[in-house]
Amino acid sequence: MANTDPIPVGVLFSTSGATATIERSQAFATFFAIDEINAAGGIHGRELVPIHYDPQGMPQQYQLLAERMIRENGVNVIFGCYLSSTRKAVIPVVEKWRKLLFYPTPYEGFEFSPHVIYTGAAPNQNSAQLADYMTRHFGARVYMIGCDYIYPYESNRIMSDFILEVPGGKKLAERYVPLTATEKDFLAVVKDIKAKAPDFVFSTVVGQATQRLYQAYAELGMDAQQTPIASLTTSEAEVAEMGASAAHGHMTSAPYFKSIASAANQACIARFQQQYGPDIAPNMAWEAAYFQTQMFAEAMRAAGSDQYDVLLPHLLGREFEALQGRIAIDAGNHHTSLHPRIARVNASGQFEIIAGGSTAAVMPDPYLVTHPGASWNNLAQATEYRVG
Amino acid sequence: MADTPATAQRAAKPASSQRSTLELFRHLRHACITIFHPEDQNREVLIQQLHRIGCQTVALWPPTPQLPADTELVIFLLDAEASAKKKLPWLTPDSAIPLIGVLDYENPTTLETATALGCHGMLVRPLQAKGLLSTIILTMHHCQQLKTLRKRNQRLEEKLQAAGEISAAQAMLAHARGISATEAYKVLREQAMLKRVTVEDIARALLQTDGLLANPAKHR
Repeated sequence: MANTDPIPVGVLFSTSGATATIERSQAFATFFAIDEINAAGGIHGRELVPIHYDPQGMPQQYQLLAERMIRENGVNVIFGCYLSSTRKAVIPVVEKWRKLLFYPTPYEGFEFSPHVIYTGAAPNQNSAQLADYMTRHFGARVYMIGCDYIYPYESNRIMSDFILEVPGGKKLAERYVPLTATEKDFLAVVKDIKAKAPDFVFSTVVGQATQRLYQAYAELGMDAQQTPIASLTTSEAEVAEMGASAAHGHMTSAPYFKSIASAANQACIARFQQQYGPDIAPNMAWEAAYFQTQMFAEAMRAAGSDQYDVLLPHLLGREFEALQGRIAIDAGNHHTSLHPRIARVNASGQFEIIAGGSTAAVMPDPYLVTHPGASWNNLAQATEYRVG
Repeated sequence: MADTPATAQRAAKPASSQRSTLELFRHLRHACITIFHPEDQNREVLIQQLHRIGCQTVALWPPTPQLPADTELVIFLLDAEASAKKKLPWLTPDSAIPLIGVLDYENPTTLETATALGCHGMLVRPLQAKGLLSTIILTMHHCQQLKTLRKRNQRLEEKLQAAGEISAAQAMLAHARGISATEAYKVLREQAMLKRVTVEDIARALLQTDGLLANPAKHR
């Protein structure tokens, strides 16, 4: 007799709180993938049922709700988390219960849990490329501004290393604001940026605060064409919130942008918007959330179970034709090989891809301590700012 | 961390050096690590995590008396057989290479053995990926500090001894020539410059001669 029991899967993204916009896009990408999987017959006829709770951006809630999903709803896998602090809160839970967390967000690296699959960019897949591009095209005098938590600290350290390897490289300032920072906080920072006149600004501001930084930047008359803000996390979701005029001219490094011209990408976005409307902007975190759910389904079909020990061998080394290009989960470090790209926001608020996107994926190196200069300087030559 | 929003903006710690990353980390990237541990799940976890970090590893069992060339860190299973009985030459509190012992028990007996043998760091089985980088970094850091302090200590001891010798030679010269101590020092220094040796060397030579010249008629 065939097993027709539905399969509960955990979805742990905040739909309220400081990071609600970006996490909502991750949640809906997960629902979207689950819908498609079910429409295609589920897992050998078994339906995937998303169990979603809203942890409101609070690490303790993530921990509590992860535990609840596992104990009360019987999930074996959880798709979730944006902020590093929330991932850190969930890891002990999945380790204790021998479950698996899929984490679809770029983060600062230096982590490995056997119970996590990391599908967002590691620093060698976004920071290295951004540092290289910015120092070549704008100069190596950088002003750093970030939110006050671990991801900005570590990202700034990594960025500093890249910058200081470039002749004339200099860190003019490194400032931190709370996740709840207001435009007033940023006006003071932008005044200081103006006074110090860097070649570019490196921002690790995330969530709601992002739009306030860019708005303050525009308000005080900083010219994004000449001195852009470069970011690893400012995506289509944040740009939609701040508006095209505040975003125009700024740069982001990520493996995926909505504007990737491929037929597969455009068709997928059309399907998504047909189902969920135009309010959720596809972005790097959305794409990772989408493909990791699809990969889980493929792996579970092959494994015949979603239990950790049975499922994991079918995930490690697995390749997938994602919207960004062909990707694979690295068997050694559980991170994913990805296709770095750099894009700049145009006048209509769309990201135009100006570098990267080569067919060769970049292997994840989450414990990257430093790049020897040559290896990342050559990296750009391989893809010399090919548009597409 | 959304749970601890600072109310005030804060400026980051001033960058003390051009490099923002610890030299230790940079070095670790290609460090050669020797592992003395039987082949099992623990060793597998250890090797995999070291490779993720980017280290080179050599895994051997039983422990060899000689460390493989280029070894910069040793992680070894500390059991009675491997340590106390075998007398491994590299396992000494004077080791310049950082040593990390792998233990099964965190009891006073085991910990005392580990410290007495010269472990700079310890790991407890079952080994896991988490915490390994911290242990390695702390071990290397402290071992390096120990090395620096030992060197400095040795230099200071030498200096102290030299200072004693110089002042004795000064006194002797002043007495013999009937000049002041300051003038005596000047003479010593001139001699040192002339012979292109240090003042300590001249002082030492003079004191040795003094032993020969000494006669019962001499004062003091």
